[in-house]
Amino acid sequence: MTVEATHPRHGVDEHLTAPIRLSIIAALARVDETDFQSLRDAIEVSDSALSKQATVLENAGYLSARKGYVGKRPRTWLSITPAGRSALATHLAALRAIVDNL
Amino acid sequence: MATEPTAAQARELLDAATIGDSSGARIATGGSRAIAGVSIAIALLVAYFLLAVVYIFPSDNVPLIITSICLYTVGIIASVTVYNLMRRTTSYGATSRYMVGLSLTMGLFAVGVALTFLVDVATPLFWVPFAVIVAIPLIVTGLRGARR
Repeated sequence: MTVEATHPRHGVDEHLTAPIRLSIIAALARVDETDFQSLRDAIEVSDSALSKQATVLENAGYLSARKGYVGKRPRTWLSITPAGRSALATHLAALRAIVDNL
Repeated sequence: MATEPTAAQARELLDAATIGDSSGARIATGGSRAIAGVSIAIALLVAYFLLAVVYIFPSDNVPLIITSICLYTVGIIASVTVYNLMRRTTSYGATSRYMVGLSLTMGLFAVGVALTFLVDVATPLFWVPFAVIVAIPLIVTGLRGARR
């Protein structure tokens, strides 16, 4: 007999349980892509914190980082992947269900 | 957080998502304005070039023809270069909207060029409105994101 997973906790994504990571992925869901500096300023984190959390999200397949140049200046472009967008939607639905089940 | 978040933790995470969402919306606004600007510039340049094809190219004035081609080329290069130098964010869906608008505008431009071979009369009553129609798709798709 197969038991269908219906409890809200099954939708919780372990990669998105850190508030900073969730803020990063939620912000990226609003853009096609943005540069590292703009995202850092928007969510008010340090370079190292954003870099560290972005690497975790990239390794999870939720974020894509593209390095390029504007003139001679290096610039890193960040974007959310389709898997990241889907994970965000599922995760938010699960969180809302947990809050609503009170 | 390997186990199920508590309701308080879930609320905290939802707050973090809301903050991220509004931060993303804020940076997306700047990106929308930038792509609206470059879209309008390119649309007007394409419309201008269509009028140049109709009114300047058939003339024997070679310097004027070369000048009009240079103006168009420099205008396109300048618009794209400024956009690429200034842009820091591309708002969600802006790239695909831009591609749709550009395809429609360039398609209408191609129809206009084809019509120059079929229509002998170079009346402004036809070509000026047609040039405006050529520019409209790219302007509309560019402004659509900026208004969100």
